[in-house]
Amino acid sequence: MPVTLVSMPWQSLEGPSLPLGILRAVATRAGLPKPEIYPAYLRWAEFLMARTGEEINPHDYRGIAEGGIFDGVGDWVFAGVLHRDPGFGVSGLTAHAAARGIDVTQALRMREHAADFIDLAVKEILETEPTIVGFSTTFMQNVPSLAAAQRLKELAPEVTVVFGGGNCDGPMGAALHRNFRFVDFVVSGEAEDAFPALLRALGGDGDLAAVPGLVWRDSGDVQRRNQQGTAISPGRLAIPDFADYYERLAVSPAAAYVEPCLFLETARGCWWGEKHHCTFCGLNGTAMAFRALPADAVLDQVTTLVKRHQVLDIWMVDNIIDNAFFTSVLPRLAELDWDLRIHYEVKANLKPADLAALHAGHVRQIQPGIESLVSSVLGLMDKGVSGTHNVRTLRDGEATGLTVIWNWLYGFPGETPSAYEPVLSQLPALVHLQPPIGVARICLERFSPHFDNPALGFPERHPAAHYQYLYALSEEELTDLVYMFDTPHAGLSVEQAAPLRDRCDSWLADYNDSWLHRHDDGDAIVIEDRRKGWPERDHRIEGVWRAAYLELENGHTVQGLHRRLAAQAHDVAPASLTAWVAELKRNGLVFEESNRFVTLAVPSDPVKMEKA
Amino acid sequence: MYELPPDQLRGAGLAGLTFTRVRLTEPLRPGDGLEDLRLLVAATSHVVRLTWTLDGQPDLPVDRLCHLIPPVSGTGSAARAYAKEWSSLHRYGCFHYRQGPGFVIVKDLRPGADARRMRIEDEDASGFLRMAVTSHAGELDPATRDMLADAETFGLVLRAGDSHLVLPHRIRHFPIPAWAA
Repeated sequence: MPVTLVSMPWQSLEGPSLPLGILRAVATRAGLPKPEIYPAYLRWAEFLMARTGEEINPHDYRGIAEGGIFDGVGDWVFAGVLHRDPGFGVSGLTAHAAARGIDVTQALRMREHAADFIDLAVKEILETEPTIVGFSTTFMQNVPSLAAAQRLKELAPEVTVVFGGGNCDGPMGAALHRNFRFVDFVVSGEAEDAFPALLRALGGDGDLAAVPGLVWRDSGDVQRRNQQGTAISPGRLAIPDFADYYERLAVSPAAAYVEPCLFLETARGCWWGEKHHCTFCGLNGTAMAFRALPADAVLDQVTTLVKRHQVLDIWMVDNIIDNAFFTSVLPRLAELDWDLRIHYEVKANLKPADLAALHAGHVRQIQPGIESLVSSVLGLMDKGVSGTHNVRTLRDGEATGLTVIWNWLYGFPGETPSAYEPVLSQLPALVHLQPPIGVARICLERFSPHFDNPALGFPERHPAAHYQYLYALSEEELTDLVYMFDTPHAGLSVEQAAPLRDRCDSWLADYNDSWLHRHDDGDAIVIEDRRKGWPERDHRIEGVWRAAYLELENGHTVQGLHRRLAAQAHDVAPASLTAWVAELKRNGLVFEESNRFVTLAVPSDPVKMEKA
Repeated sequence: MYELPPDQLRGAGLAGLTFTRVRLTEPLRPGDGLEDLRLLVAATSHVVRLTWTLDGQPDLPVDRLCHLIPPVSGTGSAARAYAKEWSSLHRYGCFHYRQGPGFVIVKDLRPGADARRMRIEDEDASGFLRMAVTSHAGELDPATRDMLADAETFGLVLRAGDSHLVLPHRIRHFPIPAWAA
């Protein structure tokens, strides 16, 4: 029973589809024929280049893939094909984008080529002579996948169409199956068990009713929904089979624009979310239970795939690193004399030794989920960290030479401008630390506590406005189908958020030219201030104040600092300490939040660059 | 900031000086032989914050050297002009290599030529890495010595008499943001 697995735009061009690589591996492990993989997203990039003489190139693809998610721009490119109406949603989303300040010029140009591409892609899929075609759909892959599936059914009604992926989790999968009849089956939830079981059942060896998470139609054409399976145990996660993707990329005209990367998964779920689900986050869907690969399996996966594909960049898709990895995995990665460049998501309360372990283990970029520097807002999120924790992470990440990527989120029910003011006034002092890559109002996401519990502050919600330009469905159906929802604004108003945006824009503009470097020779600490917006000067801190400064690197209240110094037999009057800390703050050498102070100078000089 | 003569820095072992600021008390002459260029390749690789002055003008077009730490000035007008252009073209990591198991990836984004990304495999990779840690042909086995001419043709190696130098530096420290290099 030949199977072809398809990944439509807007999967990242930099690597193969991880979900399809996993499905291919589990099918093989189960003794089933190896599925073909059709990377339609790469073909789309190539198609656009050829059609437009490279006027539309992978940079434009990337612009939509990375920047269009919250407005469905990538889905919208294919909406005209799905609805057999080239004008479907054009005026609506164009106006929506204009109101949001989003440029959809290239997306509009891409729409002109979408129908021809779908014809080409379906033709090439059918050339693999499949009896089953599986589409993996996450975020903006829904409409392109539906457009291709619809065309495929028109040309080959005998082919079975299966959908799976993040867009099929929970009620979304049933809604997708209910509203698009050309989709024969939907698999909701993790597919390691479901996919082989489905292939066997379709081959006459098993019962569709026993396939975990399967949505299907019975003989009476009535939709049936099997219960989703339990979370896959870590021992059963497979090394993905990326087939010939990299060889294919190497000869692709898109290769000149792409630096290949491995997308790997070493853990699923979120150990923090199991205890304290961040109120805005829906990314784990119905699978919050945290499971991590054993250390041997992580090393096996990394070394096998790096050797096989000769790729040194690794993007771990885990939502949070396993704490055990700091002692079990990272030291073993550190032993590899390979110039790896690894990305991991981490928790923000890491200590310098943890960051050093990450760096030694070839991690070069972290995403610590900083989200804000305002403690009261972090409390509303249930993040479990304070503003000073986050500043310390920024400082120590900079010192370790790690890229720290983060967004500043606002719009939380209960937040007030007055809580932001003391922090905003100090942002100029942080200009030498890595700024947020964006400032954004939170969106109501399915599966998040904000979504599941209207009492948390978002009782009124509707499918996000852009979905009406992607689907011709009622609000009731969209409510089951989609991931993002619009709500009346909570927390800061647009006007109240303007100072935050302005300060962060300045921060971003001045970061590369700002340094606050500290050198400690054992007798004195010298802090060289070369930050934009601050007078160029050197501060010398010695004697008991040196001890106080080193203590303050950990973050303390004045009272706490006094206790720590007393424990070291330093006798400093509290009033003197208060005055000294106030002086440091006036000079922008400490950050204060909720009466806690943390130092800002960095003990090393990492290389800062403009993004290429 | 340390102040050192070039020879002392050469002997210091640059691996321990990462992110350290060092001012060279004597100018470098990267146009004479390969030893001063070798120092610059090593300092760039270990991100030693080097402050140095250019003496003379290398024969090489400046865009071939602009991946290396640029001079802050020159000892004469021609050297000053060369130094100024070097500094203006410099971008950290724009010509580097990365070592993997059985392969090497070279990335060349220097201005003045098309961007290149080369993958060197198997025996060629081990030969390249051997060239990178040696300075004279006599230190190479015959097979690797035979590769020198090809490596020079591809712009990966400079040769002067019996000496050779792998021109891209090994990237030991990624910049912020890490994917900018």
